[in-house]
Amino acid sequence: MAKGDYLGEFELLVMLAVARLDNDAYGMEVRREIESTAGRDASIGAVYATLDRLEGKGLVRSREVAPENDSGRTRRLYLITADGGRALSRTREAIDSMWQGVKVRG
Amino acid sequence: MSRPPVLARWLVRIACPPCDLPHVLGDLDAEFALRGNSHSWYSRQALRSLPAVVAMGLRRWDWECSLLAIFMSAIAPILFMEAWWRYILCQIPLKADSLRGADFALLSLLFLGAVSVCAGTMSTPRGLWLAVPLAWLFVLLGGAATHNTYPAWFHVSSLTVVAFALAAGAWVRRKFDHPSDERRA
Repeated sequence: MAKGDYLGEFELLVMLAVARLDNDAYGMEVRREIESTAGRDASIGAVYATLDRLEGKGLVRSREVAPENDSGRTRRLYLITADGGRALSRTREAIDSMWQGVKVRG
Repeated sequence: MSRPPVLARWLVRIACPPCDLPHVLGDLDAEFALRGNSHSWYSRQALRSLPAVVAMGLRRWDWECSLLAIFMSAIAPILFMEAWWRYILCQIPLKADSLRGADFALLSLLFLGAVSVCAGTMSTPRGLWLAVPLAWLFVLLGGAATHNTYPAWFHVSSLTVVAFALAAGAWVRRKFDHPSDERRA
């Protein structure tokens, strides 16, 4: 398996946040999800940069969502692609395999 | 209602790729309102976001044209000035001081302006925030490197020409830009 097939730590967090949010995965919601669930205070710039990188790899796709009213703003919704789903599964399998038999001291 | 910190917002505006800017700023503004207009939160978020959004721009080849514009608008005139100076010295060394007068200055400034306009057409408006100060720096360094004998008014004129010509080039680009470049511009 190529090195690029695995997800980095923050990429994995972002992908999981997008997966958890399902049809509500906008930039700030992804940041909030990471903060509330993983306890990691990520910057919005880092989230967008990571989503951009993941989109470049074909693991997520995005589409513009029109505002619900005149005073609203266009937002970008992110969704996980089939390749993204497979990358998540592979990463989970790799991590689970590595954890087997590990005894952490301290 | 309090407004977000101007400096932090300005930094994000410069650093962020234009196609993502409305989303990043919109999210920051929305969260800013939800957090009771916390200026410290907004500033921290903006500053922490800068490296990531600059890297995003670099990955999309968003900065390269601007950097090329800087070099075009600064290095080329410096080389021109040096070459011209050597030519004068070769030809009439004893009268070099008198030749470094209005004719040379005008020609140099015209050349500098022409190159800077071309460079400006390659740069994004956002890139100009970086291009103009760096071009100024290069012009000053170039002046120092090429004998440092040019009068102060020539340097001031050069800096002014660089700034206005780059801006003019960027305006031309915006005016006649091809729609396919919209993502980057």
